[in-house]
Amino acid sequence: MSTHLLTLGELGTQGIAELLSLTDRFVEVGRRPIPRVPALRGRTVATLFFEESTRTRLAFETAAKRLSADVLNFSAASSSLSKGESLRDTFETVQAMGIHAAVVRHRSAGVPAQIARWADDGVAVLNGGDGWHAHPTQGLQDSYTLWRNFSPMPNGQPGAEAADEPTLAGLRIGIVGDIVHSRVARSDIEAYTALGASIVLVAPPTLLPAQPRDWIDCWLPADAAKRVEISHSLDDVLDELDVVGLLRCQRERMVNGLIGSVPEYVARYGLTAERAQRLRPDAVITHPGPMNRGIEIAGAVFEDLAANRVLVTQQVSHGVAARMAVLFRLIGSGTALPNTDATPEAAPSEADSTGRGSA
Amino acid sequence: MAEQQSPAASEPLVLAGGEIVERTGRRHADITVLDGRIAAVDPPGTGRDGSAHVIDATGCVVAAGLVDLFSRLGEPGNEEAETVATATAAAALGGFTAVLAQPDTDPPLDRLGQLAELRRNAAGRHCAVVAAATITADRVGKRLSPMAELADAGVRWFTDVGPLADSGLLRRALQYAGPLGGTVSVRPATAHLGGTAAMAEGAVSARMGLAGEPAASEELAANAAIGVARITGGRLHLDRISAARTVELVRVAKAEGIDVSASVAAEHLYFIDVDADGYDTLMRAEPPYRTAQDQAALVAGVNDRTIDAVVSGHSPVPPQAKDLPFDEAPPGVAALETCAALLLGHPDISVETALDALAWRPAELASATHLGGGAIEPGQPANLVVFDLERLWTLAERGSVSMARNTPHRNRQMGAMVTATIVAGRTVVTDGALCSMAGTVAALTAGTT
Repeated sequence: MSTHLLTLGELGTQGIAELLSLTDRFVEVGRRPIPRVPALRGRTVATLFFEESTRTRLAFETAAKRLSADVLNFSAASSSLSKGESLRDTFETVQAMGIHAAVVRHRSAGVPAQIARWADDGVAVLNGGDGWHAHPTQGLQDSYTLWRNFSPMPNGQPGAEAADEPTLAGLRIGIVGDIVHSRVARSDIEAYTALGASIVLVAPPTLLPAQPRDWIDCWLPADAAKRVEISHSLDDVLDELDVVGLLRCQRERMVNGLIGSVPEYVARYGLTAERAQRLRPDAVITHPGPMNRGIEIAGAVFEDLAANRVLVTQQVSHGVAARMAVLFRLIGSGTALPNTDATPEAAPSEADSTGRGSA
Repeated sequence: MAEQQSPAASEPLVLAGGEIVERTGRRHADITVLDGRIAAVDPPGTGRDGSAHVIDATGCVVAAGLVDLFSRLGEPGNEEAETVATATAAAALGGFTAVLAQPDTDPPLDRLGQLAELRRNAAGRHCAVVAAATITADRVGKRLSPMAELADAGVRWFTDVGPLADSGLLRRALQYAGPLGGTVSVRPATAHLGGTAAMAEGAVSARMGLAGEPAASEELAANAAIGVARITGGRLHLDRISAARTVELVRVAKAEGIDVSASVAAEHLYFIDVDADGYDTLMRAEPPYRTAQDQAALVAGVNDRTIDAVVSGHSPVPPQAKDLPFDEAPPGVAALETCAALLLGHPDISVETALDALAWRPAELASATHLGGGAIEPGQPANLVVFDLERLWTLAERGSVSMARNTPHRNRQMGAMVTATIVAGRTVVTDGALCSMAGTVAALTAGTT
C-alpha cells in the first residue's frame, strides 16, 4: 500500500479501477454550475515542475482548486537549482513550507521516487511525469476516457448500476509511435493491460526498447504481458484496432537518426486519410497532445473524423477529474492507495451538505 | 573511533598465532617484524619471547598486504569528497597496504610536476600510494603523455581512467609503453553504443525509462583493445569489466598468449541491474551493473583467474552529488573500507582466490610486490594484513574514516574484519582501529564519524 502515486503498476487492477470509479464522481462534479467541492480545504498541493509543461500543470492546478486546496507553484525557472542546490535541497525547502502533496515533474526518470524517499510522513508525492518512465495520471485519464467511451455512464449518472465496473476487457488497443522515449506509453500500457485490454505496440525497432519482448515480460504481470504484442507495421494491425493511441513524435528525435525521414515515418506510422478509411467504424483515436498534425495524424483526418471518434478533448477534460480522484484519495480521506474502505461519495455529498460548493 | 599509538618502527613487532595464507599454502607461524622488514618467521608460540610488541592473531588469517588497482583519492580537484589522507586511512582500515591512485584528477596526472606533488602528499600516510599516469596529455585522448619521462620516474601504469576511443592511439600507447615496462589500462566502452548511459541496457533500463549501455558496448571496445594488443605485444589491462562476453574474450585472449589482464570492481560481484530499480543513486555504477548472468560470469572469471584483480573502484563523491536525479548523479561507490570484506565474505569465492585477486596478482601487475602482495619470508618488506574471518561488523558501528559517504554498505553486516594492517613495518591498524600517525591526525579528524 502506497501513500504516493509513482506508477500505475504498483496500484494493481483494483487500485486503478477504484480511481476510475472515483473519477466518475468528479466528472459529475465538473458538470455542476459551480464545479467545486471543499474536500481538500486547508490542504496545500505543491506543483514542482522541473520541466516545462502546460497541460499537466493546468490539469493538476485545476483539480486542486476544484477540491478547494491551496496551490503552491514551483518551477525550475524560478528556483535556485541553477545555483548549485541539489534536488533534495529544493524539495526539502518546499516541503518545509507545509505541504500535503507534491506533484513532481522532471525530465529525469525516477525523480518522483527519489523525492518520495525524502518526503516526511503525511506528504504524498504524485508523479506528474518523469523522463521516459511514467505518467500515471495521464494513464488514468486515458483509460477513463476509453472506459467511458466504450461503456458510457448508465443514465449519464455515476453509480446508477452496481455492475458498472471499470474495464477495458475485449478492447484491442494500438499504441503507435515513439514508445521507447514515452512515459505516456508506459503508463498507458500498465493501465490498459490491468483493465483487461489487449495491446499492440506499433513502432519501428529504433523507437522501441532494444529487447521489447524481454522488457514486457520482465515488467508486467504474466497475464498482462501475454496480452501485449509488438508490430513494426501499422497496416498489418490497423483493422483489428478498437483504439489507435497515437504518441507524440518529437521532431528533434526524429531528425536525430532514429528514423530515416519524417515523410518515411508518416508513410508507415501516420494516421493518413487512406488509413482513416480502413478504421473500424467504432474505432477511436487518442493522443496525449500536443499533436503534430501532418505527422502522427493527417490534418484532414483530424478535421473530418467526428468529434466522438477523436477523443483528445475528452482526454483533457477527464484529466482534471482523474487528478481530482488521485488528490482526493491520497490526501483527502487520509487513507492510502488503494483502499477499498474509502467512500468516494463523501466528496460530492460533502459539498452538497455544507453548501460550500458555491465558494 | 579510538586511535591507538603506533609503536616505533625500531621496536620488534610480533604477529603471533595466526594462520599465514600464501600462494604456496597455509601454515601457522609467528612473524617478527623489525626495521620495516620481516625479520623472522617462527613456529607458532616461539616468537613472543622478550619485550616485543605483540599483535595476537590467534584464529585470524595473516596475509600479504592488499593492493588496490583502482582508487580515486580525491586530490587534486575533489577535496570536497576525499583527500589523500582520508583515502589512505580508509585503505589501511580496509586491509590495503598500497593503492594505485587513478590519474583522472583535476588537473590529471600527466606530467612529472603532478607526480611529484602526489608523492609529496602521499608520504607518511597510512598506506603506500602508487601513482598511475594518464595515457594522453591532459587526458583528452588526442596525443600521448610523456610516458617515458614518467616511466623514468617510476610510473608503470598508464590509464585515462575510461575508454580510449581511438584504437590507433591505443596501439601507439601499447607500443611506446612496451619497452618502458608499462601497462596500458583502459575501461572498455563504446561511446556510440551508449557508453555513457546511467544503466545497463536491458529489460530493467527499459522499464525504468532510462537510456542503457548494452553489453556490446564493452565487448566491442574490449575486442578492439585485445586486437591492438595482439599486434603490438604490449601489456594491456582491461579495467573494471562488467559483462559476461568480455570475460570470455579475456579468457580466449589469455589462452592465445596475449599479454592481457583484467579487473572487476567488488561491487559488481554483489549488485545487478535490478538493484537500481528504485533509482537509488548509490546503485549508479561505473560501468553499470548488469544482469545476474553477467554477474555469474564475473564470479566464474575471478574463480578461474581469467579476471586477475578485484578492485575497490573507490570513487568518492560529495554527499549532495548523490542527491541528484539518477541519470545526473555521478556513478561510483566509496569502497576502500568494505571491498576486502565483501570479497572474503563472498559465498562462492575461496579465501585463497580472494587474496590472489586482492593482493598477490595486483601487486605483480602494478610492479608493487615490495608494497603489498609479496612473499612472507625473512628479509621481505613487512606489508601485512590480519583478518578475523569470523568477526562480524558493520561500517556504521565501526565508523568510517573516508570522507566519502557514498556507500550502500553502511548497515550491511560483514564478516572478515581487518584487525591489523602493517605497512612497511609500521602498525597502521590494530584491534580493527586506525593508529594515529604524525601529520595525519588533524586531517583525519575531519573525516571521522
